Amino acid sequence: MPPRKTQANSPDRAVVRAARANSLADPAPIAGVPGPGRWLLAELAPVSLFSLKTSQATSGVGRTLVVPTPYAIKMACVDAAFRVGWPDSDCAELLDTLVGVEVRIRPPGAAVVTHTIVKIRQEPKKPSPEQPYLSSVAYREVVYHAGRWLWAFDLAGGDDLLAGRLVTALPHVRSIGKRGSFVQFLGFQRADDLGEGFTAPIVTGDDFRIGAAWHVQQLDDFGPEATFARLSTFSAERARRDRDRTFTTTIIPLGLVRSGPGFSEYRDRP
Amino acid sequence: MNLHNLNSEGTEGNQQQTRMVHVVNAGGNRQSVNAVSGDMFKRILVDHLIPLLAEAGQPLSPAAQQHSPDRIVAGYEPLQKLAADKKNNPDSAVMAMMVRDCAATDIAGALLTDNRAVGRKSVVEFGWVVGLPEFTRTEQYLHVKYAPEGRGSSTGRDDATQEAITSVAGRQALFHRPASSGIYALVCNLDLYRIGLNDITREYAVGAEARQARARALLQALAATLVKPAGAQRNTQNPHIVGCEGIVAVSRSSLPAPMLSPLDDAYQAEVEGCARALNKIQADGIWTQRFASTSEALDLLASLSAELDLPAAAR
Repeated sequence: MPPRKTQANSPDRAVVRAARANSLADPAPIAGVPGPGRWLLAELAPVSLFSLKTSQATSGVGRTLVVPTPYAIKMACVDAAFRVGWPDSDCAELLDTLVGVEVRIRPPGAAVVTHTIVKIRQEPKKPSPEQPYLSSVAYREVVYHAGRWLWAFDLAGGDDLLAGRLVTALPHVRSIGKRGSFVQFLGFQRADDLGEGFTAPIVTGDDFRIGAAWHVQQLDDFGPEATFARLSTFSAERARRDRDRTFTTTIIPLGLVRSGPGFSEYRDRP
Repeated sequence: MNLHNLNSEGTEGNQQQTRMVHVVNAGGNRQSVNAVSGDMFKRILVDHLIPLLAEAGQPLSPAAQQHSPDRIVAGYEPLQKLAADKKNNPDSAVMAMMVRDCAATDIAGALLTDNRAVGRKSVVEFGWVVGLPEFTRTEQYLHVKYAPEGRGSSTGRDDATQEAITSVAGRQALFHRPASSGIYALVCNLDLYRIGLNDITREYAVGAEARQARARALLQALAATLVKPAGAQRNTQNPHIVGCEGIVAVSRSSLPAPMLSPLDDAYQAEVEGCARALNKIQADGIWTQRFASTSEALDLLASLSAELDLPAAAR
């Protein structure tokens, strides 16, 4: 049984994070990315229509999030690490060190969600070896993003080794969310402050800013006790809600401006 | 691609609804445009792939031979027996059998849910195939189906005799069917190195020769998909393929080959720019080649197929 980690920011951890943030204010490059800034920004272009079902969605009615979640982004990095050919121990370590790293997303200023019906394969109530699935139809949503994404990683939540690993893994990320939701990595930069336009978690007791246009979604993330074994698809261990996988109410900086029977249009300004 | 109806969403009354998606055009305005789902294009590719795999002497499960989308998961007894014995057979052994015993499952993927959940992820991925809003149009056309029997009563009955009207006009069913014409943006990703790779152990479950044969069949199937997009309604609305332009990006390193949406006019130059940037990370890992016609695209895929040299060991 591995020792339990705690997410509660102990004074030591807060002090370490603050000291790390101060050191990142230096313009010296971290993992080859020039500073200053605690936030590592990865620029990506959405290549195809994006889709990532909300965690509350059913198989029949698959509503999509408009942006990827921190959980999905971190998992994409771990998946990329495997594809690069890192040893399993390094991939597991990357996942473990990503637990304390905050991730924010800046979507492009315009996104249109298409509401559609697609054919799916669905398990029947009584599956048989000869007929494991039946053909069915389901509601699905896909998102067209006009522009580029920025994924921001708080380097104050990790050390130089983690920064180096992120800089190595992120260019290998090929898709996010549903398969076929391709993205293309374009480059890195760093920033001191994210400002408006990024997703912002609503944390009890903390201030938060609301921009000109917004909506709220539950985005998932690695929980405080997440381990590689618990989050691995190929492991017998199960991930537990709020401990290994958390859901945070998050302000998405895109507001619904128009909708119809087949679409919902989001913009960064009303 | 002109006058096609490769992918419909449903039917309302006597009117078939083609699939439409909403995008934002270069001017920042929302536009509704015809699209074909990636699922449809993958199905088209797999239909071309299965006979090519059979010709190449690669094993196929009985369901895959019949083009069943469930592939090895449907009725393949050795897999069911193996999966049932959870105590002695780890998931990696199940995955190895899925990859080894059915080349179609290896390349196109399948999800086993009987006794345990083991998923083989597809080697080939398609995004949505979306029309360029400025150049794509969809129209509804009126058709008549001549039905000599069974539909007469639906057009009314004679008031005096109460018998169904059986005039020629009464035996004609009207229906509306869409046809779309335009320029479509297709993105496709092939992870050739994953052919034969057991995703759990990260080791190859099939030999180098078989992997080469499967990869060649996959490239040939992609070429066939461009020439003959065998989607819906082809009995009377076989699409007119007018031309094809694009760019192929190939990665010989662990970096993914760059890919950008052809909805952007400058996509070819951007892909080349990304390749240059990625080659600074790993030298000479990526090369790109533009093509300006269907024949050039096929020639390129044929050359890639002939010169294919897959890595001997998994990364």
